[in-house]
Amino acid sequence: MLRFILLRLLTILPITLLVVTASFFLMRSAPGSPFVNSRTFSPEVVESLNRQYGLDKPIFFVTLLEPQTLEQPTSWLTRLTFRWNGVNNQYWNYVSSIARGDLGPSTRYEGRRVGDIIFEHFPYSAILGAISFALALTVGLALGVGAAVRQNSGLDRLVFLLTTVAVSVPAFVLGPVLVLLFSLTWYWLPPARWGGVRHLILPVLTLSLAYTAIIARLTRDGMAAALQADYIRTARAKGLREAVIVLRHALRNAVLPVISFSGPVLAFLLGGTVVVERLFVIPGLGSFFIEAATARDYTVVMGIVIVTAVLILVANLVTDVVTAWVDPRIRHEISR
Amino acid sequence: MISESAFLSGTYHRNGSHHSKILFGATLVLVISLAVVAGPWCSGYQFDRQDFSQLNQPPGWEHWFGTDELGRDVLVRCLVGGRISLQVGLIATLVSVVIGVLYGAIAGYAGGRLDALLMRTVDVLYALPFIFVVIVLFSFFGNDLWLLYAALGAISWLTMARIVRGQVLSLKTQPFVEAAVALGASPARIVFFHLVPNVLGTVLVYSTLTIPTVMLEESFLSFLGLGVRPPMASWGTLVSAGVPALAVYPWQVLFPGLLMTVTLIGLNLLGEGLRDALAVTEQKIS
Repeated sequence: MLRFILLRLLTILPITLLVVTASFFLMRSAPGSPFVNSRTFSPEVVESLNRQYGLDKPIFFVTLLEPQTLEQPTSWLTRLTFRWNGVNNQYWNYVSSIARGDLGPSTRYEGRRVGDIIFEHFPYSAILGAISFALALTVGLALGVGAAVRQNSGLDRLVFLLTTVAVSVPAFVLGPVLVLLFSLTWYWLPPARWGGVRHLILPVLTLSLAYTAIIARLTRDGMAAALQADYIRTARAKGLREAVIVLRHALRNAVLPVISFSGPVLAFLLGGTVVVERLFVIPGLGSFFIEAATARDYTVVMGIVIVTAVLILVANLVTDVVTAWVDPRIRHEISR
Repeated sequence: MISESAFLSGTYHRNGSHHSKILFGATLVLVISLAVVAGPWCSGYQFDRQDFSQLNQPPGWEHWFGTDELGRDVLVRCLVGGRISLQVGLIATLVSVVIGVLYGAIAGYAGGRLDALLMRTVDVLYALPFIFVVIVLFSFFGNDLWLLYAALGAISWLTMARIVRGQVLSLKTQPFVEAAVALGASPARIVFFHLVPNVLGTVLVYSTLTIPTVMLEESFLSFLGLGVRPPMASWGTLVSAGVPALAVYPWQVLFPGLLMTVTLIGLNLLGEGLRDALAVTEQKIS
């Protein structure tokens, strides 16, 4: 098991490097650059700014040169020529600075390091995401188990109805509706911004509703299938209490799909959700991202991409470990 | 994004309830599609016609859904916006199906190193934030409606590829594939004429559930100002345009939001019903 975790941790590094490489070139190939978009700078200033941030260097080790026209027709491959730029290029500088743990300077927020920006704003996203996730998981599991234990009862039908609607309401519709009701009509809760617990209620509800519904649905279906299994009949025949049968024997099997669904969701929620952060004016990573990308703040965008990617990769690993912990069959498979 | 495969993993089906799910879901989708396609012609208003004597009118007999801040009829804007949203859902899903099925089938049938390479690529793509890819694609090709369709399709095929690959992996050991190999069928023939037809059931179910996901993504992008551009509208842009004046003119948010929600309910029910009816279970997918 430990070996499995270590091996997987080792694969996170190269995959992150691939993600960094892919997003680096995607970002650089997009038209526009950090300083050209702002009209306030004269060309000389842009040039010196580019020099200051190292953006005047060649992008990669090699540059593809224009294909030369030759007299004799040759295959296109032989006509490709490259120029060697040496190691002082933007890609290598960036990758080696990440390797030193430095995410570079922001081009939009003058004088600020990307690491500091992320360090300062990630907690907002993480707190919001963690609370929403915890709520979705507990409420979803409770509803799902309840519905499965009393199948085709009023509760089951109610859960089905609620979850069908909840999954289908987009967050950007739910958020405004909640604000309209709780803040602008009844004046119970603040409509936006970061503050105490009361400020968190509406964004958490907006963010968690759909996931609560999906987890409830997954739990209900998993439980319903598990409760029909032979080992449950055996447990009943042994005279175990119903609570033990449901919570220890059936739930263990029923939560497997919930676990594999929840892992990526947790990563997604922790990394900051653009819509909810924007709706409720929360200064998390998500609200930064769009702004940075449109302003071509390469380093900030890349920094957030790296955070997101690492979160997803770690979440996948955690999912696998938890699954193995819950299901001995998978544990056995992994240990071999 | 995240919710895509959530409903696929249901393993238990209520007896007979999938019929009512399909029926109800399909009816909702049909009614809304008809309204969206025919509605704008029947309505006396044009979606981009501004009337400055009718600014921000509440819903009434003249304008059933009220008017917006430029005096445009909200009902007709919702219907025209619905066209865009549904179009995006259908076309982007189609794009994702084509890419996903091809990719997954090839990876699954080839196996070995090619399979490993293709699927690790999918892993890497999964780790890229989708909104980042979309922003880059937009800045590349300009903000064209067709590009929006293609971009959304191009980022939604990952799960489809995984599903198809998993199915093909288990199918390719079946006797009918062996028989085809023995008869001298080429790999391409086996993939496209023997394996792909066998995964179409799952693909159908999964695409029905991809449509609402893609529609959500589109509205989400439009909401952020990255998708459909004015004067064109989609449900996402309509909601987003209404949010600032939410307290005063709530109908500008509520009606497009409600329409979108109802459509998504219909599509989700339809997809779930189909899944139950065709008994696509998790075992088959993973």
